[in-house]
Amino acid sequence: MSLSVSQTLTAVGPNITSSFGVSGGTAPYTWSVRAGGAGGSIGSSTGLYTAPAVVPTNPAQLFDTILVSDSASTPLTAQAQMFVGDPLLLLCDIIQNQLGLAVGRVYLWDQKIQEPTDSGLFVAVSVLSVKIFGNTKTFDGSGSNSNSNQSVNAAATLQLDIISRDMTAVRQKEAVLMALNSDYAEQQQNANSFFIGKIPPGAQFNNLSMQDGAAIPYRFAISVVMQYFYTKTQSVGYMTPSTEPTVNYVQS
Amino acid sequence: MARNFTVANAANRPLFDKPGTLPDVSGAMQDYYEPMTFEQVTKTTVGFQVKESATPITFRGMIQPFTERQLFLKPEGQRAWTWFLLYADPSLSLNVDDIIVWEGVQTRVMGRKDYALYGYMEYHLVQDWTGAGP
Repeated sequence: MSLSVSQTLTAVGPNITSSFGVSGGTAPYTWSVRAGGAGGSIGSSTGLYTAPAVVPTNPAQLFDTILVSDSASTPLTAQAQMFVGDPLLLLCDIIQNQLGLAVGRVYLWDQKIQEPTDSGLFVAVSVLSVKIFGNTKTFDGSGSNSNSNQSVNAAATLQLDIISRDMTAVRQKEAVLMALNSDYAEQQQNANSFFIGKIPPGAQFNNLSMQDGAAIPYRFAISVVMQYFYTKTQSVGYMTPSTEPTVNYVQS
Repeated sequence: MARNFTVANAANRPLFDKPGTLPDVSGAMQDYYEPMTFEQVTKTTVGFQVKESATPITFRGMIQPFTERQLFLKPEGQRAWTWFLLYADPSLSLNVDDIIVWEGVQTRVMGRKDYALYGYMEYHLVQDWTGAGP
């Protein structure tokens, strides 16, 4: 007999909850999160995972490992992974998930396009510009129990570079767009409150194949717009919400 | 029993005394080398992000600044850069655009001359004050 874990989401944003299920073994089950990961928590009996409030800055700590054990005299154990990221990283996850790419083949552009080390597809995601639509701050609670909730609503124009040394980029560049329009993408957007814009009619892949010489024979670029919230909550024990000032008008 | 010894005059020996081989100077170069340690900066993709890490590499080599003549052969704007010439045993394998940290300073590989068949490697290095990754 063995335990197997199921999960409704495999990648989440900060503060998002997601449920885990288990089959096999002997109930009741005990859930836990392995220390040293993203820093999320899980209900030990419910299997309801809550992502940490802040996405870790260390890329090596973006994963939480969820452990479950049953109550047999010799307990069975099983584990699953949960990726915690901001919308930009979750977009990368969508592409990797839907194209079935190995880890490392989808990455955020960092200083330069990495030359493909083998045949097969690579996708580099770069941020061209970010337009800010809202920058708000609200308070809840009062006195020592106050929280400051900040939110920036932004629309980023991204460039997706689809790269390969063999013909894969030529043949599969459209599959990247299908990934962004997939059910998995829709599920992720609904769960994590970001929005990937539809590719408008007339949009085109720019063929940049000749730009990087022989190292990157095939490279196609297309722009995608993504709207997202960047939020932050912190306690501010000293804050009292501001009130309308009282003005006494004196008529002369 | 008397033996006849003859001194082989180099002028009488053909350049390629052993057809099909190249003169292996690695033995002579060993006396020239010093033990050296670099930190090579490599990139891996973790969580969709490029992460740099430094790996120490120990080898035998000799590093020296460019001569005036070597600098003169560079484009005018690059003569003020801090160039180094590195000779190393073939176990050191660097590629153009690799980043190494030597004496605490980030240094970029700008040229690679593969003389491994002769028993050594030659690299052209430049101190990289931009701090950009490999």
